[in-house]
Amino acid sequence: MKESHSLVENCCEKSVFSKLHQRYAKDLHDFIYYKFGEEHNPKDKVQEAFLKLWENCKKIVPEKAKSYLFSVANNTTLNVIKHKKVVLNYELNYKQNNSNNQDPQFVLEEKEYLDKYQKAISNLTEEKRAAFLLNRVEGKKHREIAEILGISKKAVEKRIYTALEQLRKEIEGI
Amino acid sequence: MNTRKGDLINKWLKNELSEEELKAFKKLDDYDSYMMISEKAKYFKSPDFNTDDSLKNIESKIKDKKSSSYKIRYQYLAAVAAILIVAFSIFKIFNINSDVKIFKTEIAKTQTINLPDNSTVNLSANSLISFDNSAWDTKRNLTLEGEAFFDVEKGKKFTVETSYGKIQVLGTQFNVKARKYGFEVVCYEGSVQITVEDRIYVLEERDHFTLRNKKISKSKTVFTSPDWKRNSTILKSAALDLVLKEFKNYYDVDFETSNVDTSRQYTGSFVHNDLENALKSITLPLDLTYEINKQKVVLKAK
Repeated sequence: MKESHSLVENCCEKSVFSKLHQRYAKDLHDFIYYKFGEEHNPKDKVQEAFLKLWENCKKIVPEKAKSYLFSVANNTTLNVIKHKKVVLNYELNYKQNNSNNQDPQFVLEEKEYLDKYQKAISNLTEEKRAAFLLNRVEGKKHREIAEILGISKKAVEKRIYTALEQLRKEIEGI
Repeated sequence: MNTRKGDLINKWLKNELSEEELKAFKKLDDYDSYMMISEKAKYFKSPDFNTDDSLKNIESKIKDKKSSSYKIRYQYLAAVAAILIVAFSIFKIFNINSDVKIFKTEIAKTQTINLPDNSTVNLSANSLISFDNSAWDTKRNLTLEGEAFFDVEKGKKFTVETSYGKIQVLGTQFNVKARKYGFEVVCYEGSVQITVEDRIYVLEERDHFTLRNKKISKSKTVFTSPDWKRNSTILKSAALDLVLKEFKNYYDVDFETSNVDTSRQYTGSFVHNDLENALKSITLPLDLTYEINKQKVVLKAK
């Protein structure tokens, strides 16, 4: 009975597949990026994960697809890097409109601060970095992050908080 | 204080601060630095991710995978085809190199041919055999047009192919006459298997198989060797035109028969080494006369 159910409700249906992609591809990309950095090309990892989902589409019901995608992307990336230091790039001209007429002094200070920030982010654990940046940059709610990372909301809260404290201490040299 | 601070920060992170709590949060010593960290985090935003492009890429990869498996199949087919072509050309080259031997006798001439396995073929006049010398070890196969006597050594199946059918033996003596006007096989020793139009006939010693005008008949012979080897032809109830055709294998002559009935039956024999004698053997029983005019023999009723 279970099999007949999964036969109807698997991800091989093209509409189901593209809906899953629409819903999860960006989160998957951001998760890989914040966790492992850009060196291992998060976009490729997203493709790999979805291709693997397609190959195994008969075995995976749509409800399980999300956790499947995230664990595949996570594992394939982990297989490549062995806890290598992750350096995330920042863009000085992030808010170009507002910073058109910044004076050199300000730009220099900004750069100094961001360099420190970058270093501090590198020193976070993968899990803390991913949780913190998904929350602060992508505006993900704790609940969503908990789903992505496969941990409890309480654990997410703790990670984000400790990440914040660790960043502050490092940046301000406390 | 610390737990309260932590509480405020957590609520701030979750966007769950009430107005009162927000005021308290703003009064924290480190408020600016928290805000700064939160604000500057946006500089580390992940690169733009285009969902549509991503899906397109994935879909094209899925297609590639499918078509690449077809490609592999095509490559496989191509490889098989190439191997077949090479194998076929090698086979062809060997075939070209194969040593096909042809022996042909003129009118009134006979020839004895030794085959690679010591079997012998006595080729009667105006006849031809051909066989593949190099393949003889694996296949004792030869083609006959005309008449020949075979003395076959024991061994693998020995096959004589004619336009009428094939004759197969293991080791024996037999004569095959495969002329345009008739097919005869006589077995002198052992046994012979004849295949004509999918039907199989087996001859034992002294059996005489005749196929004439699509009619098959079997009779016994008293001889131990074919007539032509004794320089004569024996004919039983044969029409005159057939007799004359047979005659022309042994004498290089043409017949003028416009004044005689060539369908008359003849039983008898003629020798191969004496034209006048042979003509008499035929004309006397049929009440005919003959006149030799160089290459031409004119037959007339008496």
